[in-house]
Amino acid sequence: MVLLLALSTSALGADNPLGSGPEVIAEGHALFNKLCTVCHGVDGVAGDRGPAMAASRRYLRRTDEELFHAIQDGIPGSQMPPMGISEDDAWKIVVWIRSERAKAIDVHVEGDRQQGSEVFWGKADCGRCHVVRGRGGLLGPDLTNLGARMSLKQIREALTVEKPHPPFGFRPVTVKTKDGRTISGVSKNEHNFSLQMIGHDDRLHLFARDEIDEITYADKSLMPTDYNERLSAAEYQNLMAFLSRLSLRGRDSE
Amino acid sequence: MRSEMSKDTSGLVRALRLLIVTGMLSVGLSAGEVTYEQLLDPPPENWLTYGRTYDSQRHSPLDQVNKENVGQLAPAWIFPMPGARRLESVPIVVDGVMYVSQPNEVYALDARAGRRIWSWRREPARQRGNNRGVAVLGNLVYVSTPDAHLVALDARTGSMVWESKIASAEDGYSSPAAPFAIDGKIIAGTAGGDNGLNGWLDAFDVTTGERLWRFHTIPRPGEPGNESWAGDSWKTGGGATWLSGSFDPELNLLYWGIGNPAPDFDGEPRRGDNLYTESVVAVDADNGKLRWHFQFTPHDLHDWDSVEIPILVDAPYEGKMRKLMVHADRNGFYYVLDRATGEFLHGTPFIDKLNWATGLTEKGRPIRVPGVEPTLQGNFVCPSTSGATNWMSPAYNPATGMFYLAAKEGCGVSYKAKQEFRPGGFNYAATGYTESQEFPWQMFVRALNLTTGERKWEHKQVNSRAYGAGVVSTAGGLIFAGDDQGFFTALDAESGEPLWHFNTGTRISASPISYAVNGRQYLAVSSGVNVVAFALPPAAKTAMKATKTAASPAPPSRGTACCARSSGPLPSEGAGTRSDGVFTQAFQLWATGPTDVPNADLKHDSKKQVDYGPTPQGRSRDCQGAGLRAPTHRDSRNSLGHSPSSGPQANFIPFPSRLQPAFPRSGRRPVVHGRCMDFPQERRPF
Repeated sequence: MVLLLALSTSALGADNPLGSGPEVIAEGHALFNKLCTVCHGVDGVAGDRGPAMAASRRYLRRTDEELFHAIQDGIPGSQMPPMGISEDDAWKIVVWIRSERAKAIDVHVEGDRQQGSEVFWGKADCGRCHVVRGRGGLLGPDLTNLGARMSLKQIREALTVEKPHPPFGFRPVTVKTKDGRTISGVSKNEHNFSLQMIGHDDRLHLFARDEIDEITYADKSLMPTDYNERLSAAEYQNLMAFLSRLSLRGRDSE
Repeated sequence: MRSEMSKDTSGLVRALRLLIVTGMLSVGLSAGEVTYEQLLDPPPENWLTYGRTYDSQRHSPLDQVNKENVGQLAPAWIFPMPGARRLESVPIVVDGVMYVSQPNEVYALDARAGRRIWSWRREPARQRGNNRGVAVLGNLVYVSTPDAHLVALDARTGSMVWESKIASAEDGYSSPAAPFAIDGKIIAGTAGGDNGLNGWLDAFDVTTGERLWRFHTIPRPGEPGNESWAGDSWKTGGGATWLSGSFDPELNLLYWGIGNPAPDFDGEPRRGDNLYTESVVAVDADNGKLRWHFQFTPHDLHDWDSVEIPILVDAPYEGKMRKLMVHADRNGFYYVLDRATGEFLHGTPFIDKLNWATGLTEKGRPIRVPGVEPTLQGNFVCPSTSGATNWMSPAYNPATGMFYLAAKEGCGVSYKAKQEFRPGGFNYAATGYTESQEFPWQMFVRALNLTTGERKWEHKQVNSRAYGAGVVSTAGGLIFAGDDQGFFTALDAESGEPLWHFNTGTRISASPISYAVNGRQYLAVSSGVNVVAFALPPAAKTAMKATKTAASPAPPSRGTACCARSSGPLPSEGAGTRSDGVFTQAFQLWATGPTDVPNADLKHDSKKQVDYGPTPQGRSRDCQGAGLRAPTHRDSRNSLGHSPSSGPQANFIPFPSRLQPAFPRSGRRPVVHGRCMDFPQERRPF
């Protein structure tokens, strides 16, 4: 018992010798999809027998060391077996899982931020609906702290995967008032007796329900999800580089 | 006299404008920008600055709620601030949008419905502290943070536009005061006086956040006033600016109360008057240069911060119109100054228990009584360090000519010890104080004659010994006050007679406000973790209209709403006058929210009316209904969770489950096939 404890203590001190560069991530990704998908699903998104490794929710094993030992030694009392792979390969998988779970600002992203900024404000026209540090439109979420809030994967999905419903607070709505005006925008909040929205005129509009003649909702979010098509590969990558660096961290270290 | 006339006329103009504005916006509300002109002369329906107007009179020109109908005032909505501890925030209202804050957080609410529009949270939130409110100008909302930054947010979305550093949080500074917006500038201050951290007042550019000037509350070597500090004691002198101030646009002067000197209780290391602690300073808004100062407590030894809000009034004084500044100080004296020159005109105690001075000299300096200064063994002093008043704002009603404030009677014992200054925000009070056993604390609301300070009336807040709310005055002839017992009370501004009260259930530690949306007047106050808004029930308004103008058409029927909600006939329109109507009215108000006449389509179908969608997982609506008020009716309730409306309990209507959970979340109640399983008595989650 004492020996076991001693062993595990020394083993917990294990350190990743490979770093977390893009090649390591890519190799870890390939290894994961070769070895782990039976239980954890392709890209770790979901599996029948194991948790979705790449999801952003919290897991019991959160540090690199804990993940490494889960891969090497298995998890007693669960279906997770020791994988019997080399330490380097185990580390590569750890690095990939961490990169999927980490916030975008914490992982390396290829591309040119400056050019990404031009895409953001120019061709992609993100600034029409999104604010970054006080500049931009009001209908969409503020992206000032995006890189510290979302993982790279979540950003990628926001740009390319259509959501089944518009997110709460951003549901497109058109209100016809009893005095004959029509106001379109997104609903910030509503219930049986009142509705609060921000209009395309960039103003807040507040209604009691008895002031409203008709409410029409759009099924889909205003957010386009075809940026991988409407942008070139380079533009898309540069945009990712720009978005992933948006963060308020360390802003007042002066 | 002439000025009184002109005030009356301007009141009329304002009332007219309110009519016009509310007429225009009868359907929906569209919040607009706040201009400097509006800050100079706020529309009656809005509450745009901490003290409502630049003179901080906290007098609302709204008079829909008056002495006759205030008895019918009822809660309109309650907004619990997520994660709040004890709110001290004064809400700001712009065109139907309310902005309230707590440390590191700002919420925008629909001021009619109490519904959230957006919220902003400082990420990461570094420190906890106090926060007393926001400022608005243009399209921006300004808030200062516990780590002493000033942040500008887009008023429509809560997006951060800029942030600037007021002081270093690492050094121990914070910034709890509501920022103060003037033309092109935002004024913000510091807290940290008890830590020996010198304070200042900063002006920031409204659009860029760039700092434009800084006024140091403790004069540095070479500046006048530095000689009032022995040796190097000025370096750790304190003098915080932890509350908002007032502004005279004609004189272009900002009036700010300055906090205590440090170390608080030990005067030895800092012999001298210790300027500008325990003073009011008049600062040029253009450049931050000191125009004049007046010190209330020279060389203070009792931590009697003079941050209490100064009120600016133009009034006749000894037969001559004067630009006055009045201030009730934590030291127990009420002061009248000429705000153009700083000349002391008059001062008198506003509390009965005061033993540290026998009075004031012609220049307004206290005539000290020896033997009350803090010692190692402790000395008895009245008022105590807790003070005769504090951060809660006073108010002034031009119609009554009275100054209203929350006052505290009671004494304390003050101690001192030797303490060395340590940087980094360590307490540098050099010990402290206790409440006196013989003369424990007691809170009052008091009305003083503006120019003489003579007490006109008082309202004792029974059982309240800790500081509660400030006061707001309204043109309805009312004063609204809160207390630490949680009571929100309306007092007759002339006599102090209590005319209405509501038990909010939690300590009120913030100053109330009044505003109007679509012609309906509200009173709002932060209480505990909640923001609570009150208004007259629409039924009461209707009844009044009916008696005044019989020909006016009936407004949308609320009685129908009531009937639609119940499964049987209930007293409808006009029932408010019947003996059983009180409950009906309260229910309507409670269930629908006073602003809302329910949707037309809801009238047809009572089932639709209460169809709140699938019940929460593992719970039965029926079960939750049973957890409500009348367990004896459990079996006779219909599937909608409503009791039958016949029999002696005809007026009993269990509220729909979504509106009020039957049990606290932590108390899980087992559910068996949608029916309630009875707990053994000792396991009941109550």
